[in-house]
Amino acid sequence: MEQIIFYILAAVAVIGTVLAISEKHPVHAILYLVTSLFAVAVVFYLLMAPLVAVFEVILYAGAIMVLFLFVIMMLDLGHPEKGFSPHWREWLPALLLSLVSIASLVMVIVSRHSQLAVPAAQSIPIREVSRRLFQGHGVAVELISLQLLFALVGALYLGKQQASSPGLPPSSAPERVSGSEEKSP
Amino acid sequence: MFDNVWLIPLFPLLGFLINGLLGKKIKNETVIGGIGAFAVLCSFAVSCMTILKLLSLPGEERLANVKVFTWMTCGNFNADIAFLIDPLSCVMIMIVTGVGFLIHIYSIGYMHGEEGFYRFFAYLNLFMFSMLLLVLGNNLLLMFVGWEGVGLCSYLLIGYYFHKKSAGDAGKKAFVMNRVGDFGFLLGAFTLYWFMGHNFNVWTIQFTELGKNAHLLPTGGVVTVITLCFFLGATGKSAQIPLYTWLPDAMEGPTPVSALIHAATMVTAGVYMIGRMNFLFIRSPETLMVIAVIGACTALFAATIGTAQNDIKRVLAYSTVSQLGYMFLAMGSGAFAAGIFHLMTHAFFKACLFLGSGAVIHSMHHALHHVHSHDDAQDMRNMGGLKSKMPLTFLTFLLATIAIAGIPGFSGFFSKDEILWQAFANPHHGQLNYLLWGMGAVAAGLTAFYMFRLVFMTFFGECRITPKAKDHLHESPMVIVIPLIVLAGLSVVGGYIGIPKLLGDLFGGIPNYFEHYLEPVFRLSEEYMAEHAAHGVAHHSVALEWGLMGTSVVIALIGIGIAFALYVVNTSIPAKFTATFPALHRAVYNKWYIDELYDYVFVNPCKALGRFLWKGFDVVVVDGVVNGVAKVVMSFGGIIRYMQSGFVYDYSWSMAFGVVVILGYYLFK
Amino acid sequence: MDMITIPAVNMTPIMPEIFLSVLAMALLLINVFVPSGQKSYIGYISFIGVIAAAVLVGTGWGMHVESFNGAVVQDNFASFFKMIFLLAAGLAILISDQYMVREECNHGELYPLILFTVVGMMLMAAGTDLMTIFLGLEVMSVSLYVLAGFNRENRKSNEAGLKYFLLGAFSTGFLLYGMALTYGATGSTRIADIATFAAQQSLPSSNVMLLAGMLLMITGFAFKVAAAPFHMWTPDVYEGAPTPMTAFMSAGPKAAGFAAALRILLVSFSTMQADWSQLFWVLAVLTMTVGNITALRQDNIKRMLAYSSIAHAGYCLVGFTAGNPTGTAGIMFYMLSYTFMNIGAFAIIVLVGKKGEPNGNVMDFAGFGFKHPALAVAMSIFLFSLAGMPPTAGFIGKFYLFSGAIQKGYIWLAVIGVLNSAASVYYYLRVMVYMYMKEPTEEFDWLQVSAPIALSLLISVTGTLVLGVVPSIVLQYAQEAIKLI
Repeated sequence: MEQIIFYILAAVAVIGTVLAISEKHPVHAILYLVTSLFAVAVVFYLLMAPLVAVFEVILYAGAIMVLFLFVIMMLDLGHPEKGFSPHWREWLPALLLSLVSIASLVMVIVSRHSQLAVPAAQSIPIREVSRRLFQGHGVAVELISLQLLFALVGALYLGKQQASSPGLPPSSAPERVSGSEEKSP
Repeated sequence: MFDNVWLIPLFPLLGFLINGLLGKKIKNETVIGGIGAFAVLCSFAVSCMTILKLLSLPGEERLANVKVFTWMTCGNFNADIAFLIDPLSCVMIMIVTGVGFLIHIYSIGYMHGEEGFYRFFAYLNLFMFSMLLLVLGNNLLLMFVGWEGVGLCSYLLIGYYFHKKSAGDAGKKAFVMNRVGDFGFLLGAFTLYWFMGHNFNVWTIQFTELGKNAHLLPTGGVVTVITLCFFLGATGKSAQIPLYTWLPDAMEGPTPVSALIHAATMVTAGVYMIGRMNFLFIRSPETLMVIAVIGACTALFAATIGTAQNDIKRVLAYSTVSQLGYMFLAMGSGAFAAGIFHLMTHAFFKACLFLGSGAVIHSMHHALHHVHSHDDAQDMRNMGGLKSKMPLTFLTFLLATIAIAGIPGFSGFFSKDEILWQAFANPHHGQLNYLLWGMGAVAAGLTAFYMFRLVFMTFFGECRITPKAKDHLHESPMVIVIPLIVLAGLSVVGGYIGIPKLLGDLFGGIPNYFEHYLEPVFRLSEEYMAEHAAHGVAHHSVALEWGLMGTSVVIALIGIGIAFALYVVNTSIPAKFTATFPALHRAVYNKWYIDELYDYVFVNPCKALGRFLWKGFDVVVVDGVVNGVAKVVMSFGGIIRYMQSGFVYDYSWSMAFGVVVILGYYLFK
Repeated sequence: MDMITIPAVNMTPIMPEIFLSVLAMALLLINVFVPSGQKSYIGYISFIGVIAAAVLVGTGWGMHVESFNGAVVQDNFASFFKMIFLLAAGLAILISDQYMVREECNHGELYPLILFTVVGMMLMAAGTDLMTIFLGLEVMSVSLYVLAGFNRENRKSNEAGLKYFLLGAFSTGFLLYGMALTYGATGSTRIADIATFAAQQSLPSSNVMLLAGMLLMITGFAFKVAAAPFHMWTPDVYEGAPTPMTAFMSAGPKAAGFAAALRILLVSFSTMQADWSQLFWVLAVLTMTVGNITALRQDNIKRMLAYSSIAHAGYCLVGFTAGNPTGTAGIMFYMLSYTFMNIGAFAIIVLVGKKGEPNGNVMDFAGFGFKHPALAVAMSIFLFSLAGMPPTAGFIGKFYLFSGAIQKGYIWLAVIGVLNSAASVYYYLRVMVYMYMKEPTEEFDWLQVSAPIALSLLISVTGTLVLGVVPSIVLQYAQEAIKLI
């Protein structure tokens, strides 16, 4: 029973993600992503990690995606769905890499060489999670908070417009500013 | 015991740093020159203390390795910053710091008002530092650092007047010739290190250690290759055939530089190096013969060119090449002490001669400048009659000339005679000895001739510049004259510490102090050579030695006599001679067309090769490789169009490619 | 209901990090009250802060303290690298001021971001838990993305920031995946526990999950140190980023990448050395060759130094391949030397650049030696050192890296390294040829040396020469440090 549910959810997650990438309309894309995240949340629940499942729903599907939705709706970028789809050169590396990931996972599963050292699944209470988090990984928690702070500072800095030049027109044509090697004869 | 020996190179380094960094700000010439000279004076003082300490020890204990710190260490390889104190290095530091100090003093007066005064003193101090490192270094690597350092300073100072094209060209020429030599040095050092380590498990580059284990080495064979490599290095640095042509061109530098670097110290580095590694050279009779022959040939060959030059500094330059030839002749004959002795006396009289010529040029330059004449201030044909104008310069110059000519009683006589006798009497080269001696003796005669020709043309006869300019000729300031007097004094008396046994016996058994002093360094080698002599130790009679000595003196006197006859008594003869044998004169005057030969044989093909490398290699290969890499990747299934296109997704391609290949290889292998 | 006891933690190992974080945050607040013309003071305070942090690191030398249940450690290895990061940050701060003022981009956020980058790098060196190392790397990277794009009015700088961000995120994916696989295989993220697990395996490299985890982590670090084929971002980002930040990026993060990779591979995967040595052999050859060959044809000096920086990463990978004390201590020594010589060279480039066109060409150096002899001599010393000529730090560093390889029997690798090193002389000397042998085309009259840059140049020249002449004073610390991890 669990197995069947898992495979259904996994399929939903993968298809949702694929659609989120291929869909040109941003609002639709985000909704597909939310679907996918929900599926993943339930997978976590199946793995007896209710806390992670809840976080997945509250944080990712809830807070972040809603924020994305608001931003997209507020910016109102016209009709991006009428734009060109990216060239194959641009998305093929990503596809290749996901294939690599899948291939290596399959290898790991098939090759049965390695017994997974992770303890068998059992429900972990919140108390235990917190204990682990703050005793074993205290420095990591603090680091993440610091990182978020400075990511915020950086984003604010880069996003702030210079007072002297209000409203720079967005450069329309994607131009190659630098990079290409000079091919002098 | 010698704990403070590291101060000797340190002082000039400090002087270099102060003048180099702050000189532009200081501006005051007295302060800059004072700092430069004082730094060398301090080194000289420490050197004196060192040699006194050394002399207070018994002969067998006169050897110390003073380690300052470890430079590099890795497995078997160990290189220290460490100094070797023994009689040989002590005599060298005395010459370098002593003569160097006098030349620094002289430079304060000579370089007065030159642009970049501070630069000059900074380079000069840097040179002193490198030279002291070269002579004090206790291992091959440190010696090589000094070896390269003096070379660098030499180019910088040859090209000191860098706005003059000839100066820049001369610097480049010296650079290239020295590179050839340095390549030999490095090749020799690597081969020696590897050979000793690989075959005898003696992984060391330290001279004392190498010397201790030298008995393991075979005679000839590999040792011949190694020593010939080292000797190639020596010919580059010490201007011997075939790499001598840079030295006369190096006269483009300021005269104190010619005196210090291209006469007294740097060019003798090759001789010193052979002396330092005598334990190696004695194990290859072939190399010794090559050294002796090259030395004798250079001595004779350069002397012939010297007879026809009109530029006062060029005459001295060829004379330097020739005298260095004598030193190599001594080294090649196994008479190491005699070679070093000549190195020392030569440093005295040649420095004096160069500085004297500098004083003359300085004075001429000012006089010609006053009357806005564009005549060459260095051309002896413009000089003459300076005796009365510059009496002190004349006197010191004359004393040094007598010394170099080998007149008995002066320093050059003792050292040169010792070399000629050793060349004749050594047991290594068999019949060749007579030829070597003959070449040396003829060269001695030529030396006496061209040196007195120089003296007569410069100081005697009528002054050949305009009378108006003549009035502006005057004696140099004391800061220039005093070093001349000191060096002239040394040229006269410097030889008395090394009186040959023959003469010493005559005057009541005065020993040869100098040879005795160097004995701890060379004794083992001399014993080895006596055992392995190819032709057995011949016992020559005292009469023969007297005879040879007399002959060389007579030859020198004949040389002087001819010079006197040609340039004082009947000055029309040289012109007639030139007219009678125009081809010969032209050949000698043009230095036997060696430069042209080198241009034809080496330089032009090299240029062609360079052009080929530039047109062919650079454009076709380098560009080809760069473009080719791009092309290969481009054609790689047409996946990646441009490697470095500037597009992020192209870059991610490269990364993806890397990950796929790495994972693919390891997981499926 | 029992309480979760927060264990008493020993803060000493991360004292410098805490100090710098607090300082950075305080400076962010102070920045609000500093008028826009006087942001340099924030730089001065940061510099003093860096010195204070260096003192904190220095006082901890010789101690071995683990903390946070083994998530971070204070040992000599970490302290040595922390000193390198602080040096890079200090020098970068010194050369930033004049540049940023000239480019009218002297915003106070710069200095806290630099300090924060250092915090991230320090935790990469001190982390003994994959989690700590990863978060340290992220902290470092996020700040660096902003620093690369710091000149937000400049298109090239924007582009550099964005490219670095995208590709950096891409590579972080590999790294994280590798760590996850390693955790899956071993059940722990602690480096020591992974080592214990790997040691119990009879043939650890047959454990596919562990092997794949290690390989993916290596690719992640290879990106950070700019090893081929993960180097493609380097030239664009180095060229576009503000020059002082390029200097910082080329020294600090590279050293941090090596620090983390050294600790993980030498401790956790020491039993799999045969596998990763083989990989590093290939990476080293590829990186050195690609870097040097491409650098040969560069006219833009920042691009040239970017490719040269790739090549230098390749030399360090030679030491990595060896994996013995000589080679690994060589990496530590080389990163320190590289910090001195490379930031020094960039300081000169900062000086030679003009407002609005700060990305100089090699030709801009024509006749520089005649106009500014002292600066030209300093530049020559840096270039000599980069080319690996004695008696500079670069020579000694390469000597130890290649010696390490030879000791391990990688003769051919050392030969390729020496050949590469010889090829590199060409493009370094090209700059010197322009400086000393070409007629000046410019008067260089705009060139002014501010006191902070003069100080940074003095430090760099001294460091480059002292490490070249007396390497033992530093090398013995490196050898001591590498012994104890």
